Amino acid sequence: MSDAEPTVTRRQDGAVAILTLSNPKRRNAFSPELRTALVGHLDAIAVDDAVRAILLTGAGGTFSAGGDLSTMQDMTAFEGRERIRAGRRMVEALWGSEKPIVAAVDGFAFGAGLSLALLADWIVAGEDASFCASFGKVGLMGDMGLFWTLPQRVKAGKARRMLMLADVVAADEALAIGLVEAVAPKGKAFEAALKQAGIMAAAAPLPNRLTREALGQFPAPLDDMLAYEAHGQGLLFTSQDTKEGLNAFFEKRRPVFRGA
Amino acid sequence: MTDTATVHVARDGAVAVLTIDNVKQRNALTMQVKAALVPALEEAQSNPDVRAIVITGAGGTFSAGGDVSLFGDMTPAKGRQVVFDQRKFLHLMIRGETPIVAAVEGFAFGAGFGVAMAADHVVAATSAKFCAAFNKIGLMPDGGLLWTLPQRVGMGRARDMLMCATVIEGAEAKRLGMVDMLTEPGKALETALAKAARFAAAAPLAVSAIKGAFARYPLDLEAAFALELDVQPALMQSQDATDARRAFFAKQKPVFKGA
Repeated sequence: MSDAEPTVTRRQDGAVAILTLSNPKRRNAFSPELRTALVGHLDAIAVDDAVRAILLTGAGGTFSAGGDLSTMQDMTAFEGRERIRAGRRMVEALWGSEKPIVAAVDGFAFGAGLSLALLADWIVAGEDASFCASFGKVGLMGDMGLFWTLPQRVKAGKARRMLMLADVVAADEALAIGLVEAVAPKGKAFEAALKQAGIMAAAAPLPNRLTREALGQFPAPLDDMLAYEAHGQGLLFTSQDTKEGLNAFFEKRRPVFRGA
Repeated sequence: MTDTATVHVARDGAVAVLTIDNVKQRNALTMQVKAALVPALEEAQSNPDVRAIVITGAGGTFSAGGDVSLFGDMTPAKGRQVVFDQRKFLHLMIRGETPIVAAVEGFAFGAGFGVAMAADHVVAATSAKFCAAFNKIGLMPDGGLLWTLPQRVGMGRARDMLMCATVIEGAEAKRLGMVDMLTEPGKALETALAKAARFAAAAPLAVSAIKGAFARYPLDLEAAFALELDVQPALMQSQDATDARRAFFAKQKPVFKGA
């Protein structure tokens, strides 16, 4: 039955595109099929004006248990290299997205699943969620940008323990160390993520495109960021959305942003 | 010292206290305020008797942010220049040699939030509210927040605050690392002065070298080594380090002169 085939489904809720990882036989393990499907959706979303925010989640009560080991048997070094190169394309599609991304994590975000979650702007964990850079357990190192994304969220000591010892981090600890931004009661992570995605979708999109791009260059020297904010703000001051924002501010009402 | 209508300058021992006073606009950073901050910071930093600076706001609030009355009539070039000009006081705060403590009551919004985050140490009342409010009027963060905030709260929290204009109150701000000390309402300045006195008593040459190193964030390993190599030998030769070694062996408290 096609339900059991590894894929990523897309549906729309208001201005939020919901992408669901689905590989039910293997706890949404990340396979080349999933990657191809995810990149396809992200490419379509990038040019779809009806989408203002993206929600990334996993089917069946778990996010993703990591890379699909069954697809890594008998891989040559160059096949492995090709796989990492293809992974990079997906990382770039997420990291370079001009639309904000929220991740809802129930169950496991292990290995590549952790890497994928960390490419989101905002992560909500269900209280049963656990996070682990489990690569070392199968003799591998972290990938999909983990050496870059993880230390941006957690401090150096913890990043080393997670990457070198495959420490498993439960939801409450993940919140305390800055790995996730919120914890939701069991079964409520998706709801919380959808609410946050709605907030992001209602925010003015043009400044957030520039903010996302600037933060994507982190870490950068002070003057690079001061130049970025000046150039960006100069453009934004003349946008329709800033006019609307100022009118709403003076009229004491909520602004409606169009992305223009 | 230059005491203007919008930025008052006072002294408390070795601490200069800069108070933004534009209460009618909740201490909004008008062109006048921004222009007044520059000489106030320059004079405090060039005065050898000033070893620490406290920056605060009058009337129970820190600063509501930019002067929105100017924003309706901008061209890209003018807007860019207005934001670029903030570099003058941000450079003085971040790259200057004197440690700065921010005392925050009430609102630290928009560029006012930026001023608070540009300080070395932040004292806030439990009732203080922080918000990168820019997105609410279709703008992106400025006031150096793209640089300062992720260093203090990590990238996940920074993205939430910068992209969703989330309001963060005192206790949460302390938990996240945006605020270093929390006080009851009305006590932020008093606590900041006490903390600033501790910064003032620390060895000034070393403190300014450390502040200078943080200003160059992100430092890669080679650059960090180079900085140590360039600066530490000079500090070792300073009068303060010589006196401190003598005081250490005599089991006395050193008194640093900044020489």
